[in-house]
Amino acid sequence: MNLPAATGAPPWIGLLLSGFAGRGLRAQALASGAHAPRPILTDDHLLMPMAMLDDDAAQGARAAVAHAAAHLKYSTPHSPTAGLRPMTVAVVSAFEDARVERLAMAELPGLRRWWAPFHVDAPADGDLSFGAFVARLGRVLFDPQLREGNHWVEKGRELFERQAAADLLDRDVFRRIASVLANDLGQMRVRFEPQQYRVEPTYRDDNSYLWTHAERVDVPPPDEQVLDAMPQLAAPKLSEAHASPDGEPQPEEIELGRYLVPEWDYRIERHRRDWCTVVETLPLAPPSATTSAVALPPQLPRAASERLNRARRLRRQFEGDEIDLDAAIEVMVDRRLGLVPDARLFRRPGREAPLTSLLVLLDLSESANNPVAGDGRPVLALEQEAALQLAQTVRGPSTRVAVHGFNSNTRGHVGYQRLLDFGASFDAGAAGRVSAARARHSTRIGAALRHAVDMLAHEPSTQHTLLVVTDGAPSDIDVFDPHYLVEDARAAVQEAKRRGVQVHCVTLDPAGERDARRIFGWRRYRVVTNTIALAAHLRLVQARAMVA
Amino acid sequence: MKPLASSDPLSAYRLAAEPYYRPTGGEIALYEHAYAHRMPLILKGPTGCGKTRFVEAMAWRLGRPLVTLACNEDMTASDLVGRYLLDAAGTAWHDGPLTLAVRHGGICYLDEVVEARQDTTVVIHPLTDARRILPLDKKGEIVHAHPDFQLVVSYNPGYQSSAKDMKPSTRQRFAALEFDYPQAAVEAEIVAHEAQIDTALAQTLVGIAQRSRALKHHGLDEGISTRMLIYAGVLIRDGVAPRDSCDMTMTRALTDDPDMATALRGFVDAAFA
Repeated sequence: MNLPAATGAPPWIGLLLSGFAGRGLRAQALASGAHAPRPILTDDHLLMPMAMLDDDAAQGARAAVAHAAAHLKYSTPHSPTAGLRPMTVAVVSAFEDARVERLAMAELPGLRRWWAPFHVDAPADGDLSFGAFVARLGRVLFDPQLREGNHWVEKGRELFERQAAADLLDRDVFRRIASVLANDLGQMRVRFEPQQYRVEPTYRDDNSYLWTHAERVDVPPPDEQVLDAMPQLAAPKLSEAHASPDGEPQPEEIELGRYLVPEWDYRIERHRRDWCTVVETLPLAPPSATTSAVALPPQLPRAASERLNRARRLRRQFEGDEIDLDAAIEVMVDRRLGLVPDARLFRRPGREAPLTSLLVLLDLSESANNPVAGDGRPVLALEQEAALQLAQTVRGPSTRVAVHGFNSNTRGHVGYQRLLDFGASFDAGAAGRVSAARARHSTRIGAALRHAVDMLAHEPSTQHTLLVVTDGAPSDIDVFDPHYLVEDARAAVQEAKRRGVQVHCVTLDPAGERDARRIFGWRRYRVVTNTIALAAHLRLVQARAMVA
Repeated sequence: MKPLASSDPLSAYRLAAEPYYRPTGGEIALYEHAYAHRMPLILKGPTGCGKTRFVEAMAWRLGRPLVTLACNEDMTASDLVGRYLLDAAGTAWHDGPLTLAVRHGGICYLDEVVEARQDTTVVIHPLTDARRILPLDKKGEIVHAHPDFQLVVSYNPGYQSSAKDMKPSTRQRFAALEFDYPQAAVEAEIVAHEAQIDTALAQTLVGIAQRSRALKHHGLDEGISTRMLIYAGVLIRDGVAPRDSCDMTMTRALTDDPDMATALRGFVDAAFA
């Protein structure tokens, strides 16, 4: 299975963390209103403050990942805090941070460069708060060359270094030393205020990973935590609010059938069986659609797409697997006659384009009525042009094309319009249906994808390709988790791959790139915002569609 | 057909020097047992983990010539068994590499056998059961395998699509040895030896590779292989800066995905002071 969604965090962070940890972990964005938030590490997630991810250089994120990985490798998680004062817990945690970083740097010396820039700011000299003491200690433990005038800090440094020289792996000894230090602080009348205290520097997590509080109830799973905290991040793009998901077919179309398809719920990592109802319709060509009304876009040059076919034998070739007997006899005859023989005396297998079925799936949701950023025309117009251009270009003896459209109005009604079917003649009626398609409702892409793959699977061709033309993020009015439909669509694409269907995507909105990449995968999508780029990309898809 | 005049028609296929091979388990003994019965073998394992080197080492150990064929989709049965060509006197049969090995007693090694089309690989069927014969249908000859002949094939079960697989009828004729990247210490020893670098550097490189292998199935088809580590080590030995060497031989070689490349560069960057 692929790594689960790194929602809100760039994918490389999750990859870096998984590589360091040696197992699959997720990185997520943590949008909390707290002042100076710190990353949070759990057994299989690293939640990072948005501010850290916004940083272009990503130095903070990189440092946080390395620190979290050090905990995962060297720390014992979830120790009970029973019997420990909060101040002791904080000092033990600070010692543990220093210890695991020391261990990690011994293994990966480059990490010192990752962390060092965050250890530059020393607390003000007169600052005698608990946080300042721990921050000073943290600095000298990170960089043993540093000297601090403070007695307590020097004591901590000395005890730490002595044990570090003996055995860095014995965490219990460090814990005892830290307890002694915490005790000293208590005797120095330093007050510990949990609400004020922040782990320093910023890349270090809040150390909640290390402890279990006896009274603590199980924390809610990170997904919910994050989602509760960040509803403003990516609220689902709602199409117009349809109060009644009535599911009544529109009068201008004929309902062909209703199908139940599953949906993938990434939070439970299960398919919900028979979850969505796909309503398949055949739109009736509008009366205005005559040949003259639909201006067909120019045909694209066909891409070369032939493959070896042993059923075709080419005779009289310059090279090949076997001798062409007729040619060989002529060569011998020519030789005896003293003529120059023809060198073309081999046979070899020919090449032929494989039989391909290409289904173009158009996103007919409300947002397709928005103008394209770089073009000014509605997205829908570009989608229709793409579909017509592709259908016109690739239709041929070896390629079957269909153009279908989809939109959704809750899971109870995923509209699926068969604008042009496989094998149907591409006439004015079909072109008119494509051109007259209207955009409305929402984008439940996964359900439509599954249904389209089912249709493709019945095609007799050797190559099956699905091209989704969309304007961006999937959404529906009954889904509030922005990642839910993305993950469902991603699962649908993976299922399609397993069934031998290649899925490509053209997205007409640059803002939808992130979701498109998540759903379709690297190199399987292209962001296109004008007609010229569209033609070039369609040609590429056509070429890809015809090679395995 | 008369035997060829040369005293050893497979002399070109004999190894000139002993190849370096560091065993990681009982594979040498197992191979020797299989060879004692001339049992056909499949070597499975990820790319660059030492399958080909192992066969070379065994061919050297057993004193047999090794006929290696890299399989590809365009390969035909004639590429394996041979074909007629025209010469001054008329047509003349030219043995293919497989036929040479069968006739004169070599070890024939078909590298990445699933890359060849299934209808091509069926020519090895009569060779790999009790008959041990190779019918040359175009020539009308049946070649009985030399007593020393053995067939070995390799393939990488990791990245090939399910569309490319061996036919069950082909597969069942083989015994199989499975390879994987060696344990860290052993792998470091191999990298240090092959690239002639010190063990500490080799261990650092192996650490990078292990982190990348954790990303297999998470976006990488294959992690960094032992072979890539040797390349990286060789360039570092030549004076290339370690980060540049790793970037060239590992990161850029392995992926085009910018996120994956960032993560891989992170492993490299963290590993060098």
